Amino acid sequence: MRAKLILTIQKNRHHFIFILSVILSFILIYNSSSNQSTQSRKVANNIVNYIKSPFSRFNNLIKSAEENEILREQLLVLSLEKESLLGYEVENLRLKELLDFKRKTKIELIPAKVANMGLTSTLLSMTIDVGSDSGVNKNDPVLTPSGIIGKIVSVNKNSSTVQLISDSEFRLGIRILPSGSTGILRWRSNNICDVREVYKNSSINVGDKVVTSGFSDIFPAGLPVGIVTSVADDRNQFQKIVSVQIRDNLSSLFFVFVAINEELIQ
Amino acid sequence: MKKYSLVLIIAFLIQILLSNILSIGDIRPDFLIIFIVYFAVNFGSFRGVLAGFSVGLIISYFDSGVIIGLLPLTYSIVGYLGGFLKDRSYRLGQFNFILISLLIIVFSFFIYTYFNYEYLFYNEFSTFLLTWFSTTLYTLSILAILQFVVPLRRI
Repeated sequence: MRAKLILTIQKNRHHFIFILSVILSFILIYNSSSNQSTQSRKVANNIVNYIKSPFSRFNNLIKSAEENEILREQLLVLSLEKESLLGYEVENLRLKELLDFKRKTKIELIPAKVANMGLTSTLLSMTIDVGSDSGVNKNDPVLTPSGIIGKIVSVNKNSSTVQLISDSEFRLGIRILPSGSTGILRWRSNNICDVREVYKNSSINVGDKVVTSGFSDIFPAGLPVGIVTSVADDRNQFQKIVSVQIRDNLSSLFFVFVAINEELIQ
Repeated sequence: MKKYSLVLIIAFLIQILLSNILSIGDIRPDFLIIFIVYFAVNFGSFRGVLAGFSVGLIISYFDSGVIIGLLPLTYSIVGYLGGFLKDRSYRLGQFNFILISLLIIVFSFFIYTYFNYEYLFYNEFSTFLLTWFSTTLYTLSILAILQFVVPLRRI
C-alpha cells in the first residue's frame, strides 16, 4: 500500500510540485507587503543597482556632454526669464499684501538619481536613491522640471519605489490653464495622456498648460504636468476628452525631484 | 544542464541591463519566460515548475514594481504546461506544437496582467486588454525571432 502510494507520488510528482508552487505563490502574494519581503527586496535592489552602476555611469557620461550644452542654453533663457520674474514677484507680493493672501503650501524638493527602472515586462515603476533618511514619505509626488512623473509607493531607508505616471492605474487630478477646467488624467501611450471628466462647455485650446488641481491629498496644486495637444468632444457623454503631452521621456530619466510637503496650512 | 545555467544567467543579465533599452514605449519583452518555455520543453513539467518558481521568486525580489509571488506563479504555470510538450513535437505536428507554446505564454501573461491590474480588468477592460496584448506580443515576437536560431521543437 505504502509502496503504491510512493509510486503514485513519484509518477505524478510534476502535478504535486505544481500544486505546491501555486500554493506557495499565493502565500507570497498575500504576504507581499510584509516587512520581511520589503527588507529582502531592499537587499536585492542594492544588488541590481550594483550590477547596473557601471552601465549607468557609462550612459551618464555619454549623455552629460549633450545635456551640458542644453543646460547652458537653458541657463541663458532662464536668467533672462528670472529678470522678468523678479519684477512679477514684487508686483505679486504687493498684490498679496493687498488681498491679505496667505501662502498655503511650502514644498521642499529633494534631488534623486534613478537607480533602477524595474525589470518586468510592463514599465510601471522605478527605484530612486533617496529614502526615509532624506525625508521621503509614501505618496510624495515625484517630478522633473518638465512636470509630474509619478508618486512614491514604497520607501526604504536609502531608496524608494516610484509608481510612474505611465502605469495604467495611475490617476491624477489636473487643472487646465488659463480656463481653470479640471479633470482626471490617465496615461494613454507614447507620452500622451487622456483627461476625462472635463465639462463640454469648457474653453480649452491646444497649447494650454496643465497643472495639478490640488484636489487630492497627494499632489499639491500648481505642479506642472504637461501641455494640451488635442481637444475632442465625447459623443456619448457631456464631456470633452483632452489629450495632454508629458514632456519627459520616462524610460530615460536620470535625475528627478521628490516634492516633500513641509507644511499644509489649511 | 550547465548550458541552461549559462543561458539563464545571460537571460537574467539581459533582463536587468537591456530590457529598458529594448522597451517600445511602455512595454518590454520578458526574456526569462522564454527561457522557462525552452527549459520546460527540454526537461519536462517537474523541472519546469521548479525552474519557473525559483526564477520567478528571484526576479520578484529584484523588481520593486511587481507583487512578490506573482512571477513564481506565472513562471510555474509556464513550466508546468510547457513540460507537457516535451518529446511531443513530432506527435503534435509543427503547427500545433508552436500554437500550444504560444497559447501557454498568452495564458501566463493573462494571469500576470490580471493580478497586476485587477482594477483595470473590472473597470477599464479595454486598457487591460491593451496592456495584456502589447506585452504578450512583444515577448512572442522575440520568441518568434529565436525560432530561426534555436527552434523550440528541435530542443
